[in-house]
Amino acid sequence: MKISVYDILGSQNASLHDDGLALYCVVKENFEMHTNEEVNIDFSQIKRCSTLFLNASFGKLLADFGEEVVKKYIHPASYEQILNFMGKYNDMWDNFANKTNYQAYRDEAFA
Amino acid sequence: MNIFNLHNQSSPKENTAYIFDSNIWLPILGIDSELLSDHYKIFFSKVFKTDGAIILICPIQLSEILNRLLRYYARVAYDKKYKHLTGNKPDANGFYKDEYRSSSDFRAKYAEIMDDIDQYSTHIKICDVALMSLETLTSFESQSLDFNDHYLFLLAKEHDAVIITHDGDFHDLSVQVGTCNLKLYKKHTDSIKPKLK
Repeated sequence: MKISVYDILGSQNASLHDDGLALYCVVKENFEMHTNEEVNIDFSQIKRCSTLFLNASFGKLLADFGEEVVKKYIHPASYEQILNFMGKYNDMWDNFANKTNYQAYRDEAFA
Repeated sequence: MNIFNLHNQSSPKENTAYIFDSNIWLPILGIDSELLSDHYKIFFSKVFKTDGAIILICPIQLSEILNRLLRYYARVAYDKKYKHLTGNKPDANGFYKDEYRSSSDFRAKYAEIMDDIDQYSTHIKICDVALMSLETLTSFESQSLDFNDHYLFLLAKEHDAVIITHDGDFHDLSVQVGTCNLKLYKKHTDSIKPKLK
């Protein structure tokens, strides 16, 4: 199954929290209807993507379905034109996976 | 002073300037805190859809945000490289200065953060406190503020901006403050209750 980010947002910028939530809702709904079917989240036509967007979309999917399921079934695709995409995506994932390990560093940052 | 509750007033006003406290910028730029409500991120997003609404940032705040984020990523990098090693190894501060700042990871993280901020630049105005004197900079209107908080207050006052914060110390100030922090909001509502003799 392919889900187009551009079709959901109607914009080339995937930057805001509610944009991320809109993607999250569509993916979650489709994935729950078609369990165990691979979902490719298509970023073609998207020019910019923010960490805020990734946390609101993939971050929430990770929280709902867990690392193993997301890794196996839900993948970003056609993002090569987006500057820093993979770096931000990996950071989002790393922060989620190491939530407990990094707690002290987060506390330090917020102090 | 006027503190409003973002749970009730969840939309920015047209033609209004907002200053997001650094602790709100951190989750926007990637370091999330479970204690902070999604309301702040939603409010931030709504600014971009509100006519004439803008976000003010001063250089000192930009510096604070960048330093906190990069220090966080440095701690993560330190863990990955040294946590499981024994013997002679640098401490985390030494690692930041001597290794991390010249690393490719530092440059990549810096580029990611700046790319995020740049995506919001259509609605960001870089500005500063113009009316500076040692006295205004160091005479805190509320004793609970630290220097950077006080600086944000001066910026808000001068530019007639609204501060969006979760920090409970932003009370008793002569600027508007929006928050989801119910303790801060309650301090305000308690202060305006008529006193019974």
